[in-house]
Amino acid sequence: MNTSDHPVSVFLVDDDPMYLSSLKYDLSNKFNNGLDIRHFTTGEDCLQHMNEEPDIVVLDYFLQNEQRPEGLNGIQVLQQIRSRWKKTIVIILSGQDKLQVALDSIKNGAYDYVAKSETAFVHLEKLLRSTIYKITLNRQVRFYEKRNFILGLLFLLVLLVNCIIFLNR
Amino acid sequence: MKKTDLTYLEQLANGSNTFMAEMIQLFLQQTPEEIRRMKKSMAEKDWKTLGGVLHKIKPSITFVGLKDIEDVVKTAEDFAFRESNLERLPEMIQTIERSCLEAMAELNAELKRFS
Repeated sequence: MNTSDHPVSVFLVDDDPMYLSSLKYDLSNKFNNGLDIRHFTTGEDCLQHMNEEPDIVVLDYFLQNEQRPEGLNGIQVLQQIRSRWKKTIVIILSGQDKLQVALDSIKNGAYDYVAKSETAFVHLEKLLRSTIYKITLNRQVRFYEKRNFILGLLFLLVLLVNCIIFLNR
Repeated sequence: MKKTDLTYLEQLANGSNTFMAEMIQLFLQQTPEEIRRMKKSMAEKDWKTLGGVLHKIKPSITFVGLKDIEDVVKTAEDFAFRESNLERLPEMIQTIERSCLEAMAELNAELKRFS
């Protein structure tokens, strides 16, 4: 039985189509299409698909713009994800490399923060690799816990049957 | 001398002309709208929106290697959000617009190379 039989799923959320397309393309290349990547241009779209329980959400901090001033910003989306999908890891992306943005993200439950600099894709790749490693380990731990629990039950069952047979002799 | 430098984008593209063409087309589609929004918010003295627009164009500028205005955009964004040095903003916005228009002309020609 394979312990990691489904790929790690990643949601990318950014209202900049150029950034979103290039990020998806870059990650698909670097991970040899080994990730299940979905992308969304609004926080609302992302939240509508959260019942798919992605492993990781890469979320733009600055989501609001003139066309949709009433829309959710990155922190509001992060807060909703944290309150309802606790297992999902959220990584914040921001064009502002400022301490306050990083603190705001971490304070609201982001796993980490990457500034949208020229080296952002390299940082994000490293971060995703270490995160995916953790997710895979967790999946393996859960798999072996479940397997050991079933083996334990089987052992008890066999023991019980043997006891019954012994007592009936 | 060329305004744009596609080295970074070409590294990302990893040899894919389709990706290059798609990115250039997105820049050519997005930029006129961003310039319009930038000028509108400047005219209306809507500094928060202006800061937001400048914030949004930073990654696109990096992708197409428009190095000469990277710092201007960052500084103008900072001024707009902080509502400081506002008298310097009109000239900065003009510089950004001029560079973006020149970049678009260059990229229109580059697009043929990748299509």
